[in-house]
Amino acid sequence: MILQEGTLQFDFAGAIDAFKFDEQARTLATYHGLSHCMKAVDFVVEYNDHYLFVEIKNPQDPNRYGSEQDKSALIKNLTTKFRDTFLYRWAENKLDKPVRYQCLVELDNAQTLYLMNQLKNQLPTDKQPTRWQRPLAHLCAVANRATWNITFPNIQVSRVAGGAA
Amino acid sequence: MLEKIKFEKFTAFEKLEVKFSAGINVFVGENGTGKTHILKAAYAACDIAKSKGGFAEKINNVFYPSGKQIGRLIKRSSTSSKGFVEVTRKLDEKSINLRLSLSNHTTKPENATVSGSTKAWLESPFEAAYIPVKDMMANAPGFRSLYEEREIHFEEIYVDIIRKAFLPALKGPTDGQRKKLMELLQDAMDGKVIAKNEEFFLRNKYGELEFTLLAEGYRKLGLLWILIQNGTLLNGSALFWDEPETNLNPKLMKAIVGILLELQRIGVQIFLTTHDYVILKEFDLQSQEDDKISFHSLFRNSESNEIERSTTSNYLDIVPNAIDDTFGDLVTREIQKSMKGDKI
Repeated sequence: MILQEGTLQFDFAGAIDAFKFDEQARTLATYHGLSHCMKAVDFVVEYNDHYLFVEIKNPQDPNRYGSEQDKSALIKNLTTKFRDTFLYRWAENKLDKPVRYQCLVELDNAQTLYLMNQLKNQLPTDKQPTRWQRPLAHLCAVANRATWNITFPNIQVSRVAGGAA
Repeated sequence: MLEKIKFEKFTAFEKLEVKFSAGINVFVGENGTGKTHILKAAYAACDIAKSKGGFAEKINNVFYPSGKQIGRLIKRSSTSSKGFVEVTRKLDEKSINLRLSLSNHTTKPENATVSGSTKAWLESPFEAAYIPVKDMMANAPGFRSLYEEREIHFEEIYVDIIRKAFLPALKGPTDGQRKKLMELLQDAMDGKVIAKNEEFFLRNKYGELEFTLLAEGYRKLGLLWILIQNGTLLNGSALFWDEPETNLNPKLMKAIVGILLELQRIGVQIFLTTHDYVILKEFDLQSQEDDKISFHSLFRNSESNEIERSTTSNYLDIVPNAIDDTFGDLVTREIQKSMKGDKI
């Protein structure tokens, strides 16, 4: 199943369903409708054994997140998008499978590694309290396109002309 | 100003040409791709313009092949072979060359051939300093005389940098640009450098601390401070710095890169090698539109196994980027590790 965001095209091979989660078109069944109060990831994808939330950040300026402040804001943004999407899916009764969260961020590898560690800490994934019976997300990953394609061979991302979503 | 360097069958290179930026040249690449060799050869050519020595001898002393047999600098091959290194310099809007040609059978520097505009090259001296990976400042006392009197197994770059460090301060008041640079360094290392009887000390409000007791990273900052103070690094000079990151905390890189950019702005041509992400990223973040930076990536061609080069002025276009590739590998492995224990 193929989805596009800006100039990036995702091929979710083997998925049962894949749709644009923050859909703005009222006529579609996947219309989000709560963008005034809830943040949303770009795509939700359903597989046999899990759901996948995908968020994409493709800054025009490679130093867009250069400062400490901008990086903190980005991590907060990625965290909020996950949590709000998670709540929305709970209300939809669509949290019957584990959730993976994968962010494609077009920055160099050193920066995505930093972001991944910060996001894991904020979501949180790695250090959950003993009271929790299950993790919020089974995977929290941040990678740029080149590393994404190596790490997730079943979800190839390519750059395409144009910018239609 | 150096314009380019060419190698043929010299040390690690089968055939390589590098065109230099007039500003900053950053060499990246895995170990064994010849980054330091480029710096050493270019430095040797710069140094003789001032020292008036022979190019062949300088190259031999700087590289220090076994038994000082200069022919060992020819790239290893099963047959007899000849090679050269050629450095091109811009002088009064003209390009002049200095070439050293030799074969693997050449045993002594005097039997190698130096050609090109040797006379013009030597008639126009300029300052050049080479900061090696290993700090020599703490070992300075007596090292110069030891080097002159005995055959000790040290490449000449080590004694050269000590000689430069002992040059007295320039006469007259320090100009504004140099003062600013020295103040930046003083802030980073929290003091000034003084020399007493061939020994260096860092002086600050707590007193004087000998270099042997000073963190090695600070010794490097101290060396840079001295080179600016004594006028070695002025407009038209060249600075060669092999792996500035060695023994320096990454936090100091912001100041170091800021100083290197300032030196470039006052007309110092800079050549450095690095394995450090922070240095590359600091150049990317701190450089301004008018700054002249070239990133030279050295790599082995996967088919021929020979060393090749790609050059770009944009940090993101460095290909291959051995440093970022390593981070990419860490990202992949971290994600794979998370997925391994996952029962999905």
